[in-house]
Amino acid sequence: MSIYTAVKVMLQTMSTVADADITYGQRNQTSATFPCLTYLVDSIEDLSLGSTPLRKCTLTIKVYSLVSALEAVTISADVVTAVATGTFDSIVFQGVAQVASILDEPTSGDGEETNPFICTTTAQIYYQA
Amino acid sequence: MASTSSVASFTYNSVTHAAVGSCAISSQRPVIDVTYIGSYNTYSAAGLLSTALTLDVFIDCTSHLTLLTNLADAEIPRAFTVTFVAGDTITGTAYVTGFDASIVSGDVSRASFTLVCDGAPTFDGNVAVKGGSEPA
Repeated sequence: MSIYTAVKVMLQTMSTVADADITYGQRNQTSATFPCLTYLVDSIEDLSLGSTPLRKCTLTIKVYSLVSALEAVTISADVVTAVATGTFDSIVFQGVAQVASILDEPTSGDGEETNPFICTTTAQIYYQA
Repeated sequence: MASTSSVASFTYNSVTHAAVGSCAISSQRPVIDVTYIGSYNTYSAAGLLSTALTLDVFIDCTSHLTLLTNLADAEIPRAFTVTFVAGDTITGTAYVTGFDASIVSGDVSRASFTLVCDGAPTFDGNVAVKGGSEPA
């Protein structure tokens, strides 16, 4: 039971990205298919007194699409829906705040090929653990 | 010795409150100036001790019901305990005298409570507060 697996369990409620394509921090470049998604817990801080304090973690979730920017944005809308209160891996997410998505600037590779379109969602999750 | 917030707690009316972001207690004994006319120095007497508490919480009306109830009835001071670490406490009785709550777009709800101590608090169970046992 950890916040990392709890976030993964929460994101697995999405139907638009396969479980195997939801990875921590980096894309699985050898076996992942597109669209895929990475998530990162940027920070964790204690907010209240006690041995099981209320905590806040900041998440960064990136959706990668080979097809189009629109697909990345559409799946990110699913991410925003998936980031919600509830119990995941026995951790209760009490509150979700500042959830927002932004489409990253498109980039090209060295051979001028189009890199995946990326839409980044950030969120804050308040949980007790 | 430094103690961490993980072993701290705030209890009011026998309820240990959840989601307390911070708990501050302030005891002040203002000095009374008793300098006599013509004196070359100031003279003072210890004034009356007053104690107030401020709680910042992530508000949840169920979890913080005892505080809200006391604010509403406003007649009975209830026992409180601020625990810094087991054995290091400040206890007393207090009224809830203030409540401010807010919710900002895209954020979680927060609130603060103000409590005013009724009579003398007890520091650490060992420190005798003058006037702790008031004359009848």
